[in-house]
Amino acid sequence: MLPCLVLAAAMSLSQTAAVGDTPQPSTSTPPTIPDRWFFMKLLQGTWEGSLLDGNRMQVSGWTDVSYTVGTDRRSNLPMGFNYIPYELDVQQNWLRIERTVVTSGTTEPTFGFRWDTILPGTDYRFTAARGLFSDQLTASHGRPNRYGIDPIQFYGEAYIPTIGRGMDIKVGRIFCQYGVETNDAISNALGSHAYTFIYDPFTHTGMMATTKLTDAWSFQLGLMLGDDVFIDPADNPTLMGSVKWAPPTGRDSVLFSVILGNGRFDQAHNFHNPEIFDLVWAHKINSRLNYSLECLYGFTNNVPDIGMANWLGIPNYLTYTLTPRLSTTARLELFDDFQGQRTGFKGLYAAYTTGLSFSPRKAIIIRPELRYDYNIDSRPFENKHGLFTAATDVIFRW
Amino acid sequence: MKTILASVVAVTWSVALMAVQAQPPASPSVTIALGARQGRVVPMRQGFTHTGGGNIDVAQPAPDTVVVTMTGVAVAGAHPCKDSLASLQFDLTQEFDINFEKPEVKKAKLTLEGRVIGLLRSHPNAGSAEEGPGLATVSFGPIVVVSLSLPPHAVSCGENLSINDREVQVPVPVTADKYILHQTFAVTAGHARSLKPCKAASAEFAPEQALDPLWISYWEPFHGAAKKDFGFQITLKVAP
Repeated sequence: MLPCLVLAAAMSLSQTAAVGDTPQPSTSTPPTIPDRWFFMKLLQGTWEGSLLDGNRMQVSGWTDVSYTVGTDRRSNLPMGFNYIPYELDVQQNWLRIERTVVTSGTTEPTFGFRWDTILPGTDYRFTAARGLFSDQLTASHGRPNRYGIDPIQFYGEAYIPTIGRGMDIKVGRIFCQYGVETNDAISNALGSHAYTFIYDPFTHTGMMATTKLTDAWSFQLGLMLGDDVFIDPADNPTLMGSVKWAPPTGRDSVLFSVILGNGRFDQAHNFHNPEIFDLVWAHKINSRLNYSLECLYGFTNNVPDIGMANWLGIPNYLTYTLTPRLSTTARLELFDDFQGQRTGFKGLYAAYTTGLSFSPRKAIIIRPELRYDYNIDSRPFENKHGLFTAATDVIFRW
Repeated sequence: MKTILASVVAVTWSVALMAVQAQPPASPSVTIALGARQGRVVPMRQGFTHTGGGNIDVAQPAPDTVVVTMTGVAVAGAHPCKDSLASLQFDLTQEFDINFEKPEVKKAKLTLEGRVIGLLRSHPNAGSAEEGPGLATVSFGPIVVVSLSLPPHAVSCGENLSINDREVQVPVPVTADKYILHQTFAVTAGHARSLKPCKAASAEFAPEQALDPLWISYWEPFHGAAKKDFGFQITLKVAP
């Protein structure tokens, strides 16, 4: 009897609530604002900020400072980019000015641009392109300045939504599009880089089109002046292309990229023109665990005293997201510099790196890591086969 | 048998409760019938400015109640070449009849209640924002039956103010006849020209959507304030 009465009372109360409900005003959410960093927050609400926002423009950047200790005392090269041991090292002071294109909600073409500059930082030593402030690389009695500037990326951009599922065209100096790692510190899981990244091209200058054919398939095609070269006598026409398969709901994606130039070392201008073939497979093991495998093969002919130089890199990445603010990444890389043309020391490098990426605040990233490098055949690390490093970098986004 | 009996009792009880609760409320013996109205909101913008909202909402949640809400936002920042001024001027004239629905009712009382809720912000260098006064008058021909005034507020030189004012007039006796409600309100923001980047001054008296957050400082002093009730609202109620 009692359960029935309780049930009946509950029924009547629930019905009362339904009868008594009055239509509530719709609580619409406020408009979402894209990520804004310190500089744009500072300008928000001013005429200058409104001018930028009104034209889809943003000014932002970051400062990346690292400190590395290890078994080498003077230089960690050929390991990088944190190649300076036992000193505080400003790797990147990055300034980004951009106007974004509109990729959804319109059928009209939109135009934008991006200007990225290392202003200054030690990473310029790796990324500087021949013919664009490259005299900094020999300015210190024939050796590179410790700090330098590099307008590492600047391009005009057009997005045409009616070609395929959207075509994006860029003209200017552009990051190379292959591989897992990239030039801007904020886009990498670890502070140090793989040999596969360090000893292959960083940027191109030319024109590139990216076309999305379906939700899963897209391809890129570009005509460039060469690899890591701006307007310079060493220029030679170079084709870059890639095909990407990344189903939006799938757990796997594959990117195959090529850089095809004349494949010959330019002895007249002492300039390297590699041919690159790169494959990246990314697999989402579960919502927290991701794996990426990259296989890169490159070669150049006509290298003085060597002839054909070739190299093979296989870095693997395993990333586990512990919390939205904390993730850990392990990287195991095999890099065979068969003739020693890339790193200066031939042989197979094996490098294992493990690190954390911690963001105590949205604008701060702290990345401590431990790394061990070993070359089986040569002694590249201050006449030693191996190098152990412990490094931390802090990125402050502004 | 006990279970069946219990179920019958339970269902009967639940149906009885529903019947009691579903009864419509008794209709009031005095009601308001809305007539013609003229509502105007005039925005004015000069320099680096933004205005948003600009609504006059007249609602009748019950036959004996009328609620009029005026909502709007004015923002003015530092333009490098000229002074900036933004304002919204609200003006409403609403005719209405008071009707006695039952013959035994010979007179009624009219209550006028007003409230204004919103935010005023200014920048330390130059800039000011103000609201009000919020005025409402009910007249019978040329005779003012009841009026209500909510005081104006202003900020400048970096002052900021969150406002939540309420005023209630003593009920006044009325007869069944035609009346006119006249209601006015204004929000204004101004800023002197400046080459230096300065945050905008703002008078925000409208729900969230009226003010694009990019128009005010990221570190604004009233971050996260609930804004759904912002505006100048008058409630007119009659009772026997």
